[in-house]
Amino acid sequence: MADDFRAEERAVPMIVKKNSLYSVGIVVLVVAGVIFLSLNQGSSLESYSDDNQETQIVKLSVKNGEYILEPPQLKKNVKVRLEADLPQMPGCSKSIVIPAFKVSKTVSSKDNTIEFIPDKTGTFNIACSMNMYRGTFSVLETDGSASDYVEQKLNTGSSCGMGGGCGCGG
Amino acid sequence: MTIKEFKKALHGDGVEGELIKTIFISLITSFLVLAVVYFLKLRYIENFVPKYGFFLFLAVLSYALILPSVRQVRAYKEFPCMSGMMIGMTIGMISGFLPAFYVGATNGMFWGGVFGMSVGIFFGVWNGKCCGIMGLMEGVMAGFMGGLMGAMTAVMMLNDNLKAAAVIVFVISGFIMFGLNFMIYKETRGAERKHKDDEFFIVFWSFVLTIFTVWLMIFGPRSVLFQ
Repeated sequence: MADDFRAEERAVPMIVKKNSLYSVGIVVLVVAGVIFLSLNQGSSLESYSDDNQETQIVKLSVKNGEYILEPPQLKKNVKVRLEADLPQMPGCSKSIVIPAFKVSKTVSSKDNTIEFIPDKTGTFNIACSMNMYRGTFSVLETDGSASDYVEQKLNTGSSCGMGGGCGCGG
Repeated sequence: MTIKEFKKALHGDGVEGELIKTIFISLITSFLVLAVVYFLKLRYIENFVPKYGFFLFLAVLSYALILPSVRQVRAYKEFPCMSGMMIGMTIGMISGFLPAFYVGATNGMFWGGVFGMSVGIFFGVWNGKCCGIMGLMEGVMAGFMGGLMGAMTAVMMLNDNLKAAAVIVFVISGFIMFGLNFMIYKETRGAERKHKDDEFFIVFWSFVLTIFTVWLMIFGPRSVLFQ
């Protein structure tokens, strides 16, 4: 009886020790994960900043729920600078995604440009991050010829469309 | 019954004494799975860590938050109706919202929503059914809502501090799960353990959830905007 009691008494600090070890283990695992992530962070995909390159300036606005690019035809392998006409861009249309060229950026009054290099030819989609405002533009070969490639349509339904009024604040 | 007593119970040898150990086992399992898959396959994927690493990491931490509560609920098995509703709702909501948020951030709203709803409803029903039809119904509703809301929130924040939002969501969910653990402890005061899951239970579920999340995020289908 007395032995059982002593064994119980000894077991309690053992459990406390075990759980403290587990807690330390959890912290170590989490910290190791954070360190691994921070060491392996790559550079952003949208950073292009070669000022010596030729640049195509394109005006971007929204009309009747669609993105309008002016001019709508771009040249392949020539840097594009999209300049957003902010007063013409309601709500979530400022959050722009061009999947084909891995562009994803929100434009604002402080930074209303998006730069990328179109390295493929064809007709491509541009959309807001909620896929509610949409549009297309084409990229021509360097000799000016057009390609037959048309990117798959962004086919999910839109509740915004004409002039906003959707859940995204458009 | 105070938080102090609960903290003591966390270091005791009862059901609550297993919670910290469960988190640890879940993390070890998930990180081992991630490490093996990373060295075999994922390290060859361009931009793997910047693109998916953060969300996978948070997903693994989230599973380590959810599974201890599942184990705790299973240990007591029977609860009053009100507690059962709370259990079904909390586990359904959190286990739906978090995976949906992370998968939504990498694969889009549809696949994030489908994954979140599946996980949320499954865990919500599994844990809510301990306490009758009301707990079960709460589990279904919370999993359904959490799944859709998690994916939707991620997509709406795509260009607006998404990673910071993910951390905030995770921390708040952590507090909620801690609250649930405390509530179960308080409601079952003096109750005896009715079921004991061994460590394989946690290893199995951590493995399944992690491997499926990795597959879905990296190789699974995604919305056109995320291709």
